[in-house]
Amino acid sequence: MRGRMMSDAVQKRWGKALARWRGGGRSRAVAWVAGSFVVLLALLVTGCQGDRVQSSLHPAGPAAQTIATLWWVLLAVCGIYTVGTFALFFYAIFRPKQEESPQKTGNTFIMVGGVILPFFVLLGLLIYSVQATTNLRAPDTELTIRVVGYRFWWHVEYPDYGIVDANELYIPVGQPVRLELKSADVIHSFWVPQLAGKMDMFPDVDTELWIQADREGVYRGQCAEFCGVQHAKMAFEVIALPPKDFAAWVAEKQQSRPDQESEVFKQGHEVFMRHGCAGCHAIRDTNAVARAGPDLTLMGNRRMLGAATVKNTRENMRDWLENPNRVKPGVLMPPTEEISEEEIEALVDYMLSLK
Amino acid sequence: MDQIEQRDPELHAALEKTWYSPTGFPEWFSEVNNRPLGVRFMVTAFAFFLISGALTILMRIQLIVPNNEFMSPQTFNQLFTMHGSTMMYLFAVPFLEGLALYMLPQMIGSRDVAYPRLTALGYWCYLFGGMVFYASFLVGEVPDAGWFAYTPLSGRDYSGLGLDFWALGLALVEIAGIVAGVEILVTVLKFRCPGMTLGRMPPFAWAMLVVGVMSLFAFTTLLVATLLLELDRAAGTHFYNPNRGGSSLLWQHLFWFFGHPEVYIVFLPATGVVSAIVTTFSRRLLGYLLIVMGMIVMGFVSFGLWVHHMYATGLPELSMHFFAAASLMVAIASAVQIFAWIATLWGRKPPMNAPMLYTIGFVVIFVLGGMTGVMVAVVPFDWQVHDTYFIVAHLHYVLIGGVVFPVMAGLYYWLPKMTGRMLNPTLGHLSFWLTFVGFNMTFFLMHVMGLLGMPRRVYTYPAELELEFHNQLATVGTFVLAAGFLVFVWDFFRSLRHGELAGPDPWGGDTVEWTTESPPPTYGFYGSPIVRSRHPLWHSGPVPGGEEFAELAAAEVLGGPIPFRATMATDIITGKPQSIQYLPGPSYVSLYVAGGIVLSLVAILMQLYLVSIAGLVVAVGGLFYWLYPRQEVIEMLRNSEVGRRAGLPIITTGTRSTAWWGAVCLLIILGTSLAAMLYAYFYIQLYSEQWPQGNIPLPDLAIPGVICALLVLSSATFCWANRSFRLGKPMAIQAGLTTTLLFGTIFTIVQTYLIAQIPFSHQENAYASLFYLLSGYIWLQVLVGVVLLAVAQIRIWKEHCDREGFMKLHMQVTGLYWHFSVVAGVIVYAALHLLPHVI
Amino acid sequence: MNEQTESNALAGAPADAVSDTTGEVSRLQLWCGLYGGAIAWTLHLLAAYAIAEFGCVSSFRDARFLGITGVAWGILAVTALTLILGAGSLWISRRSQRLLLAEFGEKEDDPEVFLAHIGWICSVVFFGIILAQAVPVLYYMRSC
Repeated sequence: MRGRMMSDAVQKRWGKALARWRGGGRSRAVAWVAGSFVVLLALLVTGCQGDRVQSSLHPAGPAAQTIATLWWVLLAVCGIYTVGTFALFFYAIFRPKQEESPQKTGNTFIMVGGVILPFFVLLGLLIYSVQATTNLRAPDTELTIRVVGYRFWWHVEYPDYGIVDANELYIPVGQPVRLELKSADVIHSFWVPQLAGKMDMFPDVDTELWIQADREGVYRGQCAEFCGVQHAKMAFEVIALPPKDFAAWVAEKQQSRPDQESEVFKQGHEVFMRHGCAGCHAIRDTNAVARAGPDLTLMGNRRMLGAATVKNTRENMRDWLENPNRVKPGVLMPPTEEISEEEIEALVDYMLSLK
Repeated sequence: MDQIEQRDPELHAALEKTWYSPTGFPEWFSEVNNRPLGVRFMVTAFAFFLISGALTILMRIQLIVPNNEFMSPQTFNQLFTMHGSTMMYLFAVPFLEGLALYMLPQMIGSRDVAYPRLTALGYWCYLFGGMVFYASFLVGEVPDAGWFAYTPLSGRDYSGLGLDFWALGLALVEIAGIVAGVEILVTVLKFRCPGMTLGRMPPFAWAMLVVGVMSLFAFTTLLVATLLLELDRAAGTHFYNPNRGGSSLLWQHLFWFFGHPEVYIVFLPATGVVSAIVTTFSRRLLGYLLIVMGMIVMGFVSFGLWVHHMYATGLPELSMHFFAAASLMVAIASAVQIFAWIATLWGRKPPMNAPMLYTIGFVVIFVLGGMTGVMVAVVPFDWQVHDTYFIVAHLHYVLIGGVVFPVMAGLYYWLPKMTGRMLNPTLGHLSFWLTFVGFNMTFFLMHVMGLLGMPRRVYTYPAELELEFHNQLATVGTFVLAAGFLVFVWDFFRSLRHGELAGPDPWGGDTVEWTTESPPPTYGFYGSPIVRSRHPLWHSGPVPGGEEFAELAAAEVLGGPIPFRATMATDIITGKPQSIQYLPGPSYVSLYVAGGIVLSLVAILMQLYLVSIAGLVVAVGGLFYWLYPRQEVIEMLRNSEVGRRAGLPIITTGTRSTAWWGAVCLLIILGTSLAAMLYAYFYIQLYSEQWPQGNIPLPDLAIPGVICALLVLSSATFCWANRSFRLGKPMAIQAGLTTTLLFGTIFTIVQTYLIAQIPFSHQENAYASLFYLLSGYIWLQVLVGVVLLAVAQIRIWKEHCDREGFMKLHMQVTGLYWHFSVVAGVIVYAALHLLPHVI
Repeated sequence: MNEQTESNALAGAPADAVSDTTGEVSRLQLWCGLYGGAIAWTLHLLAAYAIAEFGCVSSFRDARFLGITGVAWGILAVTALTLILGAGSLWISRRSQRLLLAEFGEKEDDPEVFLAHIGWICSVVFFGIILAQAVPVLYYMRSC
């Protein structure tokens, strides 16, 4: 009984509107559908405005540029085919009634639109795809960076310069850089959309990627293969410097080591050792040599904390050291237990002094 | 076939008595008929659909603003894992299986599907599998490695108990999928009513035929992959463990070899539904041949696409591009169908009712999804958008557009047939517009989000990505979408009581299902369907094999009362009446076997390995009881008058018998699983520096070689026995079978000894695991063969003169299995023992 | 399905799926026409994949003849073989189609005519797909 009443109410409320709508003709339906797609397309285009930190449509290097161009070509080709198909489809439905059309004409239409035309369009796309892929072959590179994915951060190493860092890649503008990719645990994927496509990192197979930035800037990247709890906050930054600045950076960082005579070191390192930080972390030229966590030799130099999760400020550093789980739930670094106010201040000072 | 058959009360009573549907407790559990079980499949699957939909709402709330703390990352990962797994494994496939189980026999004019008890086994496995999945919520260990469960993340080092629930629940659901594949394949081939030639099959039946074949290959591969995963997790093998010689990429190959065909396994039936609707409302169908071609091409080519999920794994560019070519070209198979529908609809002014609206929605959304599909087949472009929201958008356009919309169209179209009541047209329009608008609101901008850098499977995103607006629109869209589905659910329940009576044929359809009353009686049909054209209710033409013969056969077999459950089996191409197929009635054996399998798998979860073995014993015992030929049934069939009256045999052999087809399907399944294991073996060998790995010595050649030779010899002795059987020489039959059995037994015993003597543990490294796996597999394969041979030998003692009857079938099936085992034995010997010495 | 019909013949079953003939076109020819193209395609993909996957990892990659790698030669050979197979399927299905059309006329839902038609279209499409799959190797003659 209840159901009956409910349905009556619904029919009263909606019936009129729908009757008007249906009486108003199908053209309104078409207008509606077409209109909503125009709106959505407009939104699509607006996405391309402005400056974005992790967008494949805002390429800053040759590899990403090739792929972005590829996208616009694909969009045009597929877009034309889509619009054509929709036009035919809606015309077929809404055109005036027509009695029999011969089977033969129908079959020819289907063969042309559904087999022959797509075959050649797709063949064209295939050739374009192969060509684009061969164009994306790695050029000769001078600089090699080794990146190892860990849950949930990135180990970064410059074998030629002996620099070890984490979650940041410094590269010179205008030069292709070869990346050797590897994982320490599960599968990760290295992805800086503004510079190149992504490449997976495996524990058992070595993979490679090359990137190049054509202008100075900071490009955000992120792990693209689901790797567990904190997959979402496993990010990094690529910092492209003019070649001169890059050379200076290398020269400076090759010399980086803590000043063991300073007060900051003496106090901080003692706290560092006492609270077991050296169980996972390494700092160059000290007795902390573990590799389970990020190398901290350049900690004070980093722009971000927790694999590009928060800015590397004094406050954030303190929060992080107290309990990294608050900043990045699920992180493998345990909270620093029973640490006094003074100890933590010393530790923060120490970390920020490592440059 | 051009008029609705009238009900004859006496006939109705007689058929009702034979085909009764058991009700009450516990009889309800013994149901084997396709219609009630089809309904159970659909209702269960739709329930899972709604649950999974509810999970998405929670996820979308979490994503509404950057850095939201509505839920923990752990919870989010669990939700998206359950959402994907539920939609792919527990909704899409089982729902369409249910629809096919229900509608196929109605559409092709059969009383039931080919193996009724297997239908029930499939349902119970599916239901229990789904329950195991969701039981993970009760213990708080929800699977959280994604529906794809990439290793090593899903291995024992990185994932907890939740993944065991996932793998074991999935194994059960896969059994259901394989079983449904066999069921559907044989039903479409053998059970079409007289006159339904291959060229007159409704497109839906064609789609299901292709899906049936695909399921055998795809689900079997996944079953092997998940069993290897579970062995890694529970038994400490190292197939996927890179630290001990296994491969982290192997899983992806095996998974996507299933995963991509899976998409087409759910998409093909949907196109069949759309073809049916378009045909009915245009009152014609153009391009039938091309539609069928599209389906066949899809069925094959979908198995050649798996690598396009792995473009970013650093495979050689060359091998990626073969798959890019296939991935692009498969679009033709879809395009041809779209254009066939356009041509069909051209100028036909279809009515704008709910089925037609959902069909239009399907075309619009699916074309867009297909276009993004073409885009992601392009290798370098995929390097950017792979694993981003672009893919999320693409796959939802393909799966919601390509599956859910056709399913909704199909429900609006066929529910009147199933319930006997019409749904409300106003609510139908409302539901369509809500789902259509809500869907596009939710997913359209996800393309853009992906291009702008939002990766998949993230529980939150930083504000600097500037994607807040996009995400908010998507979240709002989800609610609109959900409202659309809820309107449908409401409409459905309302219609059950208050819907207008539908009558037999509310839409003026063209296919046979519209000749019965709605809902159809338990026995499916009145009268004797004979199909005289592609649109049997609209046109008529000649019947292959002769009008009179077909009419007589149809009248006797399908028109009259038969004291047992039976339907007509016809020639696979011409639809010429061939035989009467006996079908079993209600039985608990399916529940018993499914229960045994579940017990054995759940016991693994609790690490009660003895209980697990007990469960296996229960299942195997049940299977034995199930398959052992029952003398009283054979006697009943032998003495039946129906066959003589209709001029058709009841006891059949070879390609006329469903048992023979079932055996062939079993061999395809076994062959596919062996192929998957061999692929794993060679793949791991390819990437190993030395083979055998570690300090394991090269395998022995001599003893395995001798027993392998014995196996080959046993194939010859079986041929001898079979020949003697055909010639009617009882002593020679016994001699031949005894020798075969002896060789088989020697093989089994020696192989048991060899496995017991292997000088290394299966936990040593991946090679060791593979060695145990393949040796054990062939041991089991031959052991089962020995049991089959023993049964044949015992039975033939009494029945050796039954040369054209049941015993002949028994010999054929045993022969198929035995020869296959011998071939498998030789292949395994060559791969495991011989090749390591050569390469 | 034709592997099933084949094994059917092997198992000595009543071979009604094979033996029924309509005039000059046997069912075996119809099945060959229907599945020949598909089987050629399957062989092409599997062989090309195996050669590329295994060849590009092994030393096969660097073996050269006339400046073209062993891998590329292998794939070219496989392509040629499967194209011949596909052409055979085209020929058989075209022949069946012609003969049956001459015998029965344009009756598309006649089972044999239908099989011949569908075999012809499938063979054409699969031939096209093999050709498309052969395109990439032209760009990878010298390396993987």
